[in-house]
Amino acid sequence: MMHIYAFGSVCRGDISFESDIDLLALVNGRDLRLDPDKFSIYSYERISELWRAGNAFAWHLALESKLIYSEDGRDFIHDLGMPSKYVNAADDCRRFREIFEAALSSVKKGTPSLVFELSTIFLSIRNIATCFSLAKLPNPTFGRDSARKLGSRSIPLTDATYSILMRARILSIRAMGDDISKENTSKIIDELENCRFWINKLCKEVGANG
Amino acid sequence: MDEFVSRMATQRYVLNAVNSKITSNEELFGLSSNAIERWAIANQLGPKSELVRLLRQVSSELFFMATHSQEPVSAEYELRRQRIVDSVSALENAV
Repeated sequence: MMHIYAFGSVCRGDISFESDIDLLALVNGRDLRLDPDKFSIYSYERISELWRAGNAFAWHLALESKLIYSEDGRDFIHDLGMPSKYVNAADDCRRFREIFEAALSSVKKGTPSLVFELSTIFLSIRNIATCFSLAKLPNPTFGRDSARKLGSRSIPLTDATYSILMRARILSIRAMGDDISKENTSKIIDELENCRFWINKLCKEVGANG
Repeated sequence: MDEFVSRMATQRYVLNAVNSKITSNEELFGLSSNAIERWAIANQLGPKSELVRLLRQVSSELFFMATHSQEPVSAEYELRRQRIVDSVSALENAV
């Protein structure tokens, strides 16, 4: 049995030249035809668990996925209905803050893996924004610009620095684009230090500072 | 989620081991297949490179853990966890 869904930017119509197409494959057990670099691969059992837990990824799929292929003619995700209420914002934001801090610490120490660390910082701020929006805003925001779509709570980063972080993510995952110069690292660090206030503010609102 | 943090730490460990010990034209940006392939080409490492093989092995195991880590623990899951430890150790010796 197999179901394939597209999700993310292509379903929002929020595409750019750098956009990837996110694909989800639902299968039973292992399926060697599926390249894990191209598909997020989940079992039916696991995806059902995520639904019951009200997991943030389940909400992403529930709100932004489209069926591409169904072996049995059914839309498995649609048939699951909406996930349980999202209640893990505090834990999720706390963990992504830890990931942000670890990556920023590595950058400050002069890491030999700068692109990976900047990519990790991008992942953490994007996910903190998404988790916050799921918990606190009427319309949750997903995707690469989620941290800039929080209205008055949007991330206080310049476009230049945000762009560098996004480029790092694309380099780390898809290996596309030019290498990132280490010359501007000190400026980026200054801005990311300021990001701590933003992260802590959002974490406080979802109860992650307690 | 702890598994997620653990996988991030493993990636950091492997990337730092490679990027700090190998003088290359371009750093290894990540452990995706695309990133490993780009790094191998940039550093003129052919398909028979032991280092590239080990990187692909670690990458494969980490991706497996990423999509299966929350499922009930199976013998294969534990086997792969051990394989990551072994692969990282072999990789450290290779760089």
